[in-house]
Amino acid sequence: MNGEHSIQRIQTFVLNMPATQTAGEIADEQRIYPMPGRTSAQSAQVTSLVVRLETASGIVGWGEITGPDSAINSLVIDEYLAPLVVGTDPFSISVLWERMRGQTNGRHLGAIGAVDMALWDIAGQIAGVPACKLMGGQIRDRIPVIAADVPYATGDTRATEQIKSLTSLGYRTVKIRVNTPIKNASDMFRPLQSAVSETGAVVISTVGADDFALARQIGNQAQAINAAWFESPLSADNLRDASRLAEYLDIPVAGGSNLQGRWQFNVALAASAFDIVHVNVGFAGGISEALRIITLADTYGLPFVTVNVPGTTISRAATLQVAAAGANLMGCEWPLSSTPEDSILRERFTVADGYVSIKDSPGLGVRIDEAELKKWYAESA
Amino acid sequence: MKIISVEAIPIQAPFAEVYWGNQSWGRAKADNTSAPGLPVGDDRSQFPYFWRSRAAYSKTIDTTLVKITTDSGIIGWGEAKSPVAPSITAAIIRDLAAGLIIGQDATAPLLQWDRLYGAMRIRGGSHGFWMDVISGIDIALWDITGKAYGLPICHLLGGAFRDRVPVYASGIPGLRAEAPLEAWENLRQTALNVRALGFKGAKMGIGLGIEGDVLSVRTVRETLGPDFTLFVDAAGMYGLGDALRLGRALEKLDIGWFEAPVPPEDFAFGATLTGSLTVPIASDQIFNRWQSRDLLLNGSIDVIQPDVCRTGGITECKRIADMADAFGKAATPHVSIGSAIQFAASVHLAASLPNQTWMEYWYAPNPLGNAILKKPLKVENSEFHVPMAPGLGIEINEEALRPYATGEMAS
Repeated sequence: MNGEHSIQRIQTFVLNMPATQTAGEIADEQRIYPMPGRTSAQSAQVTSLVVRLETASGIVGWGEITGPDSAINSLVIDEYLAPLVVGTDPFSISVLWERMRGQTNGRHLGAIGAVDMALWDIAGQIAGVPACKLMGGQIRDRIPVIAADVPYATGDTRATEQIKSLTSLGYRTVKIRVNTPIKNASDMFRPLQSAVSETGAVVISTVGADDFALARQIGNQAQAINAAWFESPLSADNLRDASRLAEYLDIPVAGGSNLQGRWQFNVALAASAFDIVHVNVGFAGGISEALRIITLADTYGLPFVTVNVPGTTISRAATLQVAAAGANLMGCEWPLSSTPEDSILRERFTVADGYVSIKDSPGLGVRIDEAELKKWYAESA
Repeated sequence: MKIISVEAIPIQAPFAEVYWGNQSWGRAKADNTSAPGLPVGDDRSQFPYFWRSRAAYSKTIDTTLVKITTDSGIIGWGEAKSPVAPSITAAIIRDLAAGLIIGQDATAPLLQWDRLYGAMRIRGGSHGFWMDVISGIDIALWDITGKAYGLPICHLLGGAFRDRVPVYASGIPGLRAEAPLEAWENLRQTALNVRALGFKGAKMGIGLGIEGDVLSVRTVRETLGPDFTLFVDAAGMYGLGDALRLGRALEKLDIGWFEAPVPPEDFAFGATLTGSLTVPIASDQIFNRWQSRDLLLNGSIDVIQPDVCRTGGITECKRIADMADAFGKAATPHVSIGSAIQFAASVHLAASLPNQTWMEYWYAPNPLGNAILKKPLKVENSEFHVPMAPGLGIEINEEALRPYATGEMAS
């Protein structure tokens, strides 16, 4: 590399966006166990950090990491990572990745992941191809999506209707988010039975931090309606019980969405904690690390599914590139509707017949309307 | 960019000197000063009998080169390891592999890897000739992909952690305990010669009986002093018990790693060695990433040495190295007999690995080395300079190859 494309400028923007309102949400106060507030933070707002890199040659690349810690990620990038990033060659992404990881002592892989995405965006643009073509080649140009997600509380008939209507739109897999105080778990998914038998794949998802006995109970019920898989029933922090559950259930158990880096994943994979590896591309460490993780999963004989992350579509676009290059892809979770902040994209992604297509646009395939982006800047920015 | 032709070129070139592996473990020396023959003199090494692990060696430098042509005019070169009978490897490429990938995307090496591997996966294709074939094709496809994007292969693998890779010379054949005095003097001379060539590290071929091994390593250690890095390779000649006893002795001789102490089939039990010895345990008997996974899960290995021309090409070797890193282990390419293509592919891989350690380098005179290149590869002061040009970064002079080709190219 002659430096023509070296990174000259790095900027971070904290964005605040409205959270998508989902029908059928169970208020925390109705929950008895697990303790309300113990699982992921619920907020009316989604906070996201967007990274903008610019090369000496004027090419702009975008990355993103969503989460309530966006302001922290912004500081990490500005204070610790930026000096490493500036001057770097966009075709030395893993080299920079290791240096960034060293700089933060292995913490903040999400912030590193956002920078990593932006570099892949640039690398693809320099080469004039979608980033996936630089990952050992493009495997597929249509990515099967998992409609994410349909909330469900015991006895809720709206979910059944929603599954049927999604099926008629071409979706082949629908993710059901169990959002119910568990009173009596037997037959809890029976109302979904007819929809499942008509459509095929339904994924049952609970938020982590449930205990083993409860997860086993729900898993049995998911099994009773032939759910395609059971997702994140237990926090991966509880590796022992995750492995017990995966062994206990016949249906596949998915997990990993709260893991970061190849080392954490490897420990869980070696412990047979999952049957399907659920990867949050940005949080896990970005495209480079996600590629290493899905390859590792493949070597353990496991498929991967990518996590639907709220926020702008930048990290979702990065996820699609990984999906296009990963041989062992099972599907990408994809949101059911567009959000107001999709306006930052000059060209939006669309789902047709249950697939999102990878276009020939170079890099991550996102063309950002920076004026629109500004509308979502957090006040402090 | 589509693949329009896949050519396999079997090569047999003369050795300037007998290959060090053959000197160590083959039948090369009629006077039996070095080659083990049937075990004598060291009862503890009689199991497994040497001949059970003794690899076949050719009298010539044998390999199979792969030339892939695309509809864009870009040509890629690869190499399939063929230490013996390269005509077999070439025939498999011509009669089976070529048909599977002609017409396919030349810039998607991972996709073509899966296509080829899948074709023979359930028929034992995970080891041996078929993996050699996949390796040769995979390297050629990476060469094409790099050229298509104007990038050196190491940059497609995530970038170069280093533009010069530390290499050790391979190898110095060890001696049996009963070797005559002049053989020991020759061993000292060989060691001094390796250092005079600028190498800061070397690997010794051992596995000739514990007593001879220890004497050999001690002789070289004393000849070259404490600052020279020494590795040893027993080529899978020992059982666990002997390997452990030998390892104990090697601990006192400051050894970089103890490679292939036991045969590949016994390596699952290598955790006994890694757990008992302070000398790192290495293996070049690496065939695919699933076998590698099990070695890593078992804790059998400290340094994993996949071979780009044997272990499924750059694609599979990179996957193995990355996996090893997730286990906190080092990886480095095994580089034995072969052409400049093997060297270039290995050094691009080595450059791209965060967990890279010393890379092997076959230092003997090689008519298939720089002699077949328009611009030479540079190895200086024990460092291999990564050829930073698109693809493998080398240009093949086909005329220089022609005299050694045994197939159609020869005619």
